[in-house]
Amino acid sequence: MTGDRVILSREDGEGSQLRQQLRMRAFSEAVMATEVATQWTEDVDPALAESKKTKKLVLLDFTAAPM
Amino acid sequence: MYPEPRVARFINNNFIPVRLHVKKHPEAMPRFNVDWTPTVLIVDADGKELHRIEGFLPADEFLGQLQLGFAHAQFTKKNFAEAERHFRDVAEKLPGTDAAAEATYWAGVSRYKATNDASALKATGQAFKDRYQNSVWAKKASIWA
Repeated sequence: MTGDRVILSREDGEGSQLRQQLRMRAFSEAVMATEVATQWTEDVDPALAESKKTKKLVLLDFTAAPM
Repeated sequence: MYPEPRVARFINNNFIPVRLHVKKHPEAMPRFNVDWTPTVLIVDADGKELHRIEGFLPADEFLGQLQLGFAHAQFTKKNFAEAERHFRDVAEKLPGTDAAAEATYWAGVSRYKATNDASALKATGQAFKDRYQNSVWAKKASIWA
């Protein structure tokens, strides 16, 4: 972390590139964090069985989008 | 819409989420009478359909529909006070959505079912004089005003 700060304080091309990479990594991690926030299952019947136990409703999402 | 934190939070708190790709699980479509994607169903533990959302919706509209479906499920279970709370939540927090007019209508019905007080219906009819006048729900509530 300290090393990153030293490099980021430089105004040369290398520091700028690293700053951009760190921004991209932070952005990707933020996107992944929200996308994995919902733990989808693909098994209907176990979900219905769990619903019986927990009384939670089941949300079925039918999609043709790449998973 | 799923990466939207409010949507993810609502799903995680209230549902067991199942995602079914049409190519991987083609058998699931006729089982739940699904002919088009995206389709989202809210079902009970017996697989009985309680609410259906067909087609893409922007995050606010989708969240409104999810909350509407959840509230309808409470209504079906005769949890009228809980249903009203969720219907009012949609109407107050997502007032610009299509779900808001329907939620306003059903909030009034839920209050009536919980209290047997017909003034709840009259108040709902009056509320539609100020908003959502062009919605079908305003027309349905007009008999109460």
